[in-house]
Amino acid sequence: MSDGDIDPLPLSDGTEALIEAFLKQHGPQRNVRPPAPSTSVLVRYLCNALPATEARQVEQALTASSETRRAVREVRLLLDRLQSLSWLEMAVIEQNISASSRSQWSLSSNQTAAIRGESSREAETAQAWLSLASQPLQAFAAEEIAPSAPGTDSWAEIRRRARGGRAQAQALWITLLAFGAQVQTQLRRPLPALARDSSATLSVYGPWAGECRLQETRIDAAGTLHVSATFVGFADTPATDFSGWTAYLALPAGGEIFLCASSTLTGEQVSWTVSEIGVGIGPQASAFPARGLVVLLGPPERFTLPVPSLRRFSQSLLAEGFLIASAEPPTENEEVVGLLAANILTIQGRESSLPPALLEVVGPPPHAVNGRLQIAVRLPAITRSAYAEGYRLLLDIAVAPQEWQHLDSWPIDDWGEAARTLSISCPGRTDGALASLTLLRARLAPSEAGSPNVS
Amino acid sequence: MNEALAWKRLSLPEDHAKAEALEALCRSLRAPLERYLVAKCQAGTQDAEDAVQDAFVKLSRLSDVNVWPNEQAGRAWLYRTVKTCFVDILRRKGRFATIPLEDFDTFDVPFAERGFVEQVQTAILLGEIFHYADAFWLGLDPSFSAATYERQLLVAQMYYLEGFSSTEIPRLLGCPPAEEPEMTPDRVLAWVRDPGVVRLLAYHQLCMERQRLLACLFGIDVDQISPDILNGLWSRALVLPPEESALGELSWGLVALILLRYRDNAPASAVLTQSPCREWGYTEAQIQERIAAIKAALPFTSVMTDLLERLEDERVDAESILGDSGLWKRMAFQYWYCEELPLFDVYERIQPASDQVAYKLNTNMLNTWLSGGQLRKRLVKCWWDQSGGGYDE
Repeated sequence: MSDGDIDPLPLSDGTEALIEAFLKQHGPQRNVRPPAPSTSVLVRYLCNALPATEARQVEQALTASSETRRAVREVRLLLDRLQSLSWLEMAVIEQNISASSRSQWSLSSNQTAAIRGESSREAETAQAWLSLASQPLQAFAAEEIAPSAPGTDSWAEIRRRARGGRAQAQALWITLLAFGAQVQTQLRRPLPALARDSSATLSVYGPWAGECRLQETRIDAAGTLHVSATFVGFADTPATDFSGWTAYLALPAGGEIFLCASSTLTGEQVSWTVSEIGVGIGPQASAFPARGLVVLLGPPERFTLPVPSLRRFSQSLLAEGFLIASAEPPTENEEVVGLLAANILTIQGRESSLPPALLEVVGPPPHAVNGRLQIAVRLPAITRSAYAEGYRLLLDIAVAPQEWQHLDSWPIDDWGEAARTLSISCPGRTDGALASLTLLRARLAPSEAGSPNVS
Repeated sequence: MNEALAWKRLSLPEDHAKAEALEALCRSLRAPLERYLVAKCQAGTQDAEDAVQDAFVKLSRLSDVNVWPNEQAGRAWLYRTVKTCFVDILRRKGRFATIPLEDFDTFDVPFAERGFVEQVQTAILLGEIFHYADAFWLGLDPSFSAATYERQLLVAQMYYLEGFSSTEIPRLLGCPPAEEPEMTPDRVLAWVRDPGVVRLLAYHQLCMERQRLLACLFGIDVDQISPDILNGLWSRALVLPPEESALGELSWGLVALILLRYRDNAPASAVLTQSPCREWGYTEAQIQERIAAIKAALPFTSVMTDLLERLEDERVDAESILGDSGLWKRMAFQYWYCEELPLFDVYERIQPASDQVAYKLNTNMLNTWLSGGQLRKRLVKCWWDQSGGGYDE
């Protein structure tokens, strides 16, 4: 780096002198050190539950003090341990904290992850996390994002609002990230051989019998998804009949869909741009698989969906067999309301390279009644045959962006064909239906495995 | 109506065409302008909304809209104007003072240069000039915001100073704002090996403001130091015997000398004539001996040694990166304009560290950089050029 060749601006001596004086008068002072954040603020920072301005203050405090940097690591480790406890054990902690006025508390169980609360930081971390975990996630249903102009993205807008501290947007952002995690898991499933050939075409939901051929699907370095496609009729002729119609690009996962962008067809061409999607579904190869995408096509005058809209079409899509469900027909009275792809963990509690297993959620959508979350789960035969022996099903729930709380685990050795209703004690949690099935994370772990990696 | 058409129609004589054009521009530019103020100027949401509103009011009142030859020029005007409106809002709140007209007269600023001076003033008040100084001399990415520089610094501190791993660090950081890059282990590694980020870390370790330096010299935690504590020490040093033990190995005499030199910025040559040294009856030689002892205790050499040890990474050539003149220019600029240190004190704080990476600094160089205004002139020129005349959308 050399600034030796720069000729200064030809300014008068008076201007130079005034700028010199002004710089000295208004140069930023570094004497003001930001105050060290409290433990509860650090918990909210790590869980992305702070508005952007407060998060920045925390980061300024972190740059100013080595002690604060060590504190944030300590809080992260405590959070990891708390997140691996079951909800019931969390409730015990809560009672202990209340009973001992936060000074001294400990878990009564012999959990390896037991947190003894010997320091106030442990108690404060637990209390802050419990307070976050108890917040209901149903709020997002009321969040309406105005229909976007063609090609604009609303995911980024939600993120911006969430970082601005708006509770509904935060709830929606949590949901979208959880949805992204489910998409990411589903994309790891190998396709049946017959389906592979269709990777260059997009599935279209609407009055269209021809093909929607992909021209480009890629996620760039900034995490933006670019998709362009052409509608092609019989004999490979360009289909221009739908010019001017609205085409929504959607991500399906677990029986729900997320409408992530809208665009208007120009002739037979359509293209979408969805920024921030890389945050939701994690780093992908630059090419995004076409099977992760669905197009919903309709005339503009009666096809104005709010974007995004979760669950809006899920039931009808499932009913028409549009979303891929299990090959097995559901047992009588066991309507499949959604699918969960479960990552397989290693004995060390890390994600293995095995393809994820599929679970079906049946009956009424998951809901909480009297402090118990009820979920009916069916294991397809292929999952049972691969993992029945020596594996446990672990269920977690999204509590903050990319932060999960473990709910409970169940051995799956003796699971039969029928669905099982899992009843999970969640004291303190608001009753009602879960806003989205993808707020749940399922994993299969060897029974003798240690605590799962919560990340 | 697209934006290019809207800018064209703004110059039409018909009122309704103008109103439509304004509405279209407002619809397409309002949100990006607000985001720009929040990201670049750290404006609050409410202030950003108000500033953008004010800018559009100004636009609607402009009678001669033909001044913009094209869409880009129109946008440039809007981006400059929202910044000015934001500064005006801060002024109304009493945060900033404006340049009084008499200042222009006192400094004999030609009328033709007053608009330029006001733009430089806005950039200084909003912290843009100092932010650009980081990019310019340390070699950071100029497209990143101040918040991203802070994250880069934090990542480097966690990696090199605390020894956290590249996989652990993303989990210790909250999500960045929507405009900022996402943290991944790969990005952590890319950042900590970026020469600009390494210089940024060195700059923050070595460039010590008054309070941090005093904390080091007194052996007190920097968070424990406050003006009240320093005043208390000073009051005691005035009345207690100078050879009596005060803080650790420091006597009250040395405490007083440290406060005179590094809190009050008294030049070494002037200390002898100041209270309480005058009353103690020390000779000049005795004072010089003590000042030399304090100078030997300055932390810059040890901080640099420690930093070089921590920067031992096969992919980072620390000596070459830190041997670049940019780091030392940035420090000199900071000490001169923000700490208002005299030239020899700037030298005293930089030279012990720069020597260790074979960067030979001397007072003549500093004289040209600072007293001659070379650093300021080059920085302002480059800031002006890169921002397209104060416009950096």
